[in-house]
Amino acid sequence: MKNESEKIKISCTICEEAVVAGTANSDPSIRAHLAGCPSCREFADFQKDLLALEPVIKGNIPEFAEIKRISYKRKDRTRKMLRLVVIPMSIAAAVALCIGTVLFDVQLTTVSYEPSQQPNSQHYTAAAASSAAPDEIEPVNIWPVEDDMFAAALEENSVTLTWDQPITGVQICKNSMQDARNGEQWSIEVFNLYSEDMIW
Amino acid sequence: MSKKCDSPVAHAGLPDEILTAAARQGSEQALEILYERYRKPLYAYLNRMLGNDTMSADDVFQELWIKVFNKLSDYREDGKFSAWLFHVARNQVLEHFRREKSRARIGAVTDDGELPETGGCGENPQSLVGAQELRERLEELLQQLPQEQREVFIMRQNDLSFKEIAAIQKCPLNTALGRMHNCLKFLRQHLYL
Repeated sequence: MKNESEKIKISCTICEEAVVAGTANSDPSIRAHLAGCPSCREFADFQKDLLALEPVIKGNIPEFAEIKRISYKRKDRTRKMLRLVVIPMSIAAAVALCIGTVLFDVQLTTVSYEPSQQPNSQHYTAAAASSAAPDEIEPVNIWPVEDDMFAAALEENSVTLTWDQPITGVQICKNSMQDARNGEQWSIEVFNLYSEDMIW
Repeated sequence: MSKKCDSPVAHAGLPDEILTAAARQGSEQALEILYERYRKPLYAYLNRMLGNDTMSADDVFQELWIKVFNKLSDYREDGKFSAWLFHVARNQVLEHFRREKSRARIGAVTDDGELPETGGCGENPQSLVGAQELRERLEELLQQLPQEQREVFIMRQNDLSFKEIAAIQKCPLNTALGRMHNCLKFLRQHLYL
């Protein structure tokens, strides 16, 4: 059986816990104990006074303007870094894409020349060239093409040029065709970018 | 017409909920009022948690508020703004410790209820009659407490509930209560009011 001092001790512990938790005033038994126990009252007052003490501030607390300035500066630095890194990378990616597109297009584009009239019509003009073909290009060579190749093409009424090899800039004018074809005029202009080889 | 109604002073008494809502809308005045309201408690918290290392406290304080400005949208209005602030501050302190790979000066005991020794300051507690001396003595004693007990005391000084403190410290409610009780027992033993 617990003696009186142990009962009081236990009660003081419970009372202190209630004081710490802030529930002492809402419990009638705790309030009663507080009323009769100077030690617990002192503990309650001690907590109240201690919590009300202002902390000692060591050092200088920055003003709001200073913190805002640093915050903006940090954001500005981040934006600049993005501009220095992201934009050049984007440009590089775009250039790589363009070069890849040009290469891809040049290799695959087929230019077909269909006669718009009967085989013995006067003019056979080139159809639209590939979008990869530039509008302006210096004629590098005038290729002496064998006439029989064109004769074969003439019989078929079409000339198909493919761009599946790297080809250099070449402009072909088949002026010699005029003589061989009884006055028929052929005008074939092919702008090829890279190679001297052409597959007919 | 006077523009006083637009000054920060005119709105200084507004509750945190209104100010945070305004700050999220972009009101710099509201942000400034919140900053003025909490700069001292937060700075004191950081100073105490970092062992009165004012240089570190300055750095962490700066990082803390930049984070608060940028992350104000993360604050959910279902809890107290002060609790959220201290939660962010605590994370900054932990981040600082991780970076520094060291801890602020802590007490000689763990948080299992034992009380640290004061190291024999040689002062008679009854001689500390001035409030300033009392405050300074309190700061010294706080540095001798385990970090968790120190933290609970600081947060209770800033009116955070034990439920909020337990959430921040990620511990059960009774643990937070126990930490505060042990802290007060220690301080009572070595302070005189």
